[in-house]
Amino acid sequence: MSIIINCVLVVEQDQSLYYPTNLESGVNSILSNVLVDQFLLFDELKNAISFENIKVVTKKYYEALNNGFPIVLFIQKNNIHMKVKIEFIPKSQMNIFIIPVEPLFQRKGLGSEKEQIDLAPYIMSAIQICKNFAIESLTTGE
Amino acid sequence: MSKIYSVTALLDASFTFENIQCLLKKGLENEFVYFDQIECERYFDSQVLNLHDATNKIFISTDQNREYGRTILTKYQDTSFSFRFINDENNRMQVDFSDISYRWIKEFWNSGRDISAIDFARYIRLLLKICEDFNIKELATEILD
Repeated sequence: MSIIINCVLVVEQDQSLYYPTNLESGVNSILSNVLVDQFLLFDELKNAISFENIKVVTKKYYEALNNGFPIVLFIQKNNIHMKVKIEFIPKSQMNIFIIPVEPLFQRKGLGSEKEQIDLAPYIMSAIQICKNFAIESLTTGE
Repeated sequence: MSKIYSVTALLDASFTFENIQCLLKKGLENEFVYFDQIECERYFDSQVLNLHDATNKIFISTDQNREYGRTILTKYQDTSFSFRFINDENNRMQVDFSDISYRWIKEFWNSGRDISAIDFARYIRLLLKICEDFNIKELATEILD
């Protein structure tokens, strides 16, 4: 099960105060949003990423994306564990895949007769980490 | 050519009068304004509906065989859309905001180019808020030319 978000990323050399205008600042925005929103953030080897090493990590991920490789992150908050895969589509878009690592099952007040996976918290998290971007499309799927 | 924007959620819920009423009530609590739809009349000249009339319009008055489901014209803050309820082939409830007009835009400025895009994030957050009493099984945005 995954959530696919297609973000519009404007590729420009000049700097915008509010929205990412190049790939490197786009990567930095995503990492910063995750940390500011108090998610725990880990790289593909489950090493912690913090504000202290964000500059180095941003550079590394920028190089990978700019050379056509996807990057993988793991984020966690409360009971929500997610794998995040990011791809860059030259020249202006990012595809972000959010994959629940341990799907959250719950039974809400109405509708469900038994505990079911609820995608709402994952979708909200996805929107939150992409808040500096325009979300051109969002789709959930198997 | 104008585009049609929509956000759709599949709920883990049956297509019942009670569930539709619950969603419409949640909308009213969040300051949705429902309008009666009268052909050949301007949208905002239509009568404003209360919960009882809105539910009746959706569940009783609307032709349930229509392919595009049951809709009610809805205004929320500075945007408007058709609030639509569909009974899928498994008798599950599909809810969407379709035909979004006066849409929320996210603008990229100070970049030398005039770029703007629909701000789907706000519509998705709004739909999740309206559906917060139900489990969300699927969600998708759509842009039709």
